[in-house]
Amino acid sequence: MSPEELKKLGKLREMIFQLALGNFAYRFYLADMEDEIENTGLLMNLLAEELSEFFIYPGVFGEKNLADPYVFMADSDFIITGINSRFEDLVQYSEPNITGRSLKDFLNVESNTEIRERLKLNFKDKDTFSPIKLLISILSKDGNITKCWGYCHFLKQGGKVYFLFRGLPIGKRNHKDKIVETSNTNDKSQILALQYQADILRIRKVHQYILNNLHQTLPPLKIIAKQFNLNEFKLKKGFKAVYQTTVFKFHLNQRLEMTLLMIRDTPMPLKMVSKTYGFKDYTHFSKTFKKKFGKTPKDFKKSW
Amino acid sequence: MDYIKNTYAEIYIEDGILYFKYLPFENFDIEAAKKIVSQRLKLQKEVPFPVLCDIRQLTLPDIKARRYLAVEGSMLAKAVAYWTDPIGKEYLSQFFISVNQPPIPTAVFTAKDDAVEYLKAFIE
Repeated sequence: MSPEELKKLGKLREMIFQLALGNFAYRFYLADMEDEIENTGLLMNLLAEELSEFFIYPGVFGEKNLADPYVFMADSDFIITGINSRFEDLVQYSEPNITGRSLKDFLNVESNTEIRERLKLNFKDKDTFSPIKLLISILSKDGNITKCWGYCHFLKQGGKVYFLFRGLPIGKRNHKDKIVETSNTNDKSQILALQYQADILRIRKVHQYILNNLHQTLPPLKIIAKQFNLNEFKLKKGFKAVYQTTVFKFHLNQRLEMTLLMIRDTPMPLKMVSKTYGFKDYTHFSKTFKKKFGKTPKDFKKSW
Repeated sequence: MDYIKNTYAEIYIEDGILYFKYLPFENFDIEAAKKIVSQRLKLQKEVPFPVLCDIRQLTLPDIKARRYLAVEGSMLAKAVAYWTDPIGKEYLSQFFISVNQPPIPTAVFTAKDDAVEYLKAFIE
């Protein structure tokens, strides 16, 4: 194997390590699509894209929502140049008392040392734009420490460089919206994690099932859930968590989007369009179409 | 008119098969995917065809474009045969099919004749 190929294989291994670390934003650099190793690198890039969509933290099934991220930006001297309101709430200072200060004022000592070393090391090559995954401990005014994990991005603007960190607290929120540390991994949590993974897989199958049935109405949720070995609650909650919509809204929306294309781009009669995409009658189709697009199918066709 | 050529593709219908040849272009995002599907539907009127998709010069579509092509890209297509170079885009198309599972029969070929043969079964 040539030195060049060995180098590429090394980069491929690095990609695997990064994925194993949960860094789904990492990408393998592609120069020559005809090269076998690079072709595998391309597949790894696609895998990373898919995984980043697939990865859902288990709490979404039981908790109300995923917490908003804490975001801050620092310049190359680690002076904070920008924050979001969540970060402001977390550190308990007002925005003018945060920006312009050193990042070390808001991190514990270990985290401060680690973050500086890792950022310098990872972004020493100024052409590196793959974000890195960081675990940091944020220090608030009252001395509390919140552990967060997230991605740090490297940005350039007008000859200056910046670090943008976007992170989420480790743990889950209790009903009073406080951060609760998760206990160490044990057998029970491992089983639960596997269960969540299996549920997500089933929910993705339901998604595919809907896409394969855009020409007809769907059976009741209870029946769909049974067909995919889920209970109705899990299907409802899980589908919403993964796809940010409900089963029936997704089915309806997808069909309406396709009818729009058929009306706009083909001469197919409107009643036939309605029938092709499984609407029970034309009146129902016309009403739902108008609700979504602001015009009846007839008016839309005329205006196009 | 049974022929279209634009920035994205060259499309024509011949002997009951729709030939769709991707041309190289930058930024294959969802907007490009929407235009591509729209152009094909216009050419087809409302008639479904088996589609031979020549992806030898394909620009890599991003994840949103891939999702769109898997669903909306299957509209008025009876079946799709991807024609690709042995190494180049073969893995890419196999990845696309196994992950996005298009709702119509789909297969990958490295020889044009094999692709045409596969599609013949879908000509009415």
